[in-house]
Amino acid sequence: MTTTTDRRHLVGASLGLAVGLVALVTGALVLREHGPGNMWAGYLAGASLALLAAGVAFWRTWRRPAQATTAERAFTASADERDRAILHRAAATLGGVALPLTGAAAVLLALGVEPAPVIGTLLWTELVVFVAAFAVANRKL
Amino acid sequence: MRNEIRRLREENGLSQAALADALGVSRQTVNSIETGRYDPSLPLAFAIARHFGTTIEEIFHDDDH
Repeated sequence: MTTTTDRRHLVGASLGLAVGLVALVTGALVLREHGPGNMWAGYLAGASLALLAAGVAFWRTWRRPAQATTAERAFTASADERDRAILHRAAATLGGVALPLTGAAAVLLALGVEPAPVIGTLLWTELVVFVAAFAVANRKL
Repeated sequence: MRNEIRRLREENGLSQAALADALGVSRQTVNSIETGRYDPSLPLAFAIARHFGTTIEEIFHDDDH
């Protein structure tokens, strides 16, 4: 039997995936026309992988909620209060680290360092910080 | 904060998953509360107390007292 919560979850998931798909295609088309080199292909690969992961997470939290991980619940709008607390801690850690990291990146750019590797390193560092903070909070809480 | 949730759950013959289902949270959340790693919000603490037919004070104890 499909409950109201199930329907809400399905509608939310479908909407989220549809918006993700539109962003994926639009971003790839814009980058192919205006982006440097083969950046669009990298974007397409990365965004497709993220969309696929989101789809799997939605499916698992819907069909196998008992086996879903904290991260899957936290990113599919099916988080409980502990999941949200973990997500908030990780986001707060990222926020605290992002400001000095961005400052350091700005200094490097002002010194004439190539922008692409600086921005790339900044993004990857922030991603690693967030994932690490999430994992630590998930173990502590 | 210490609590009596594990004892109450076992006395009622409930698994962590069954209690989590009844409270509308994940099994991991029940486990974290039982082991004292996570302190529940006031609404969840009330829901736990109501589930076991007791009061918050009977379930949760301040570590310092």
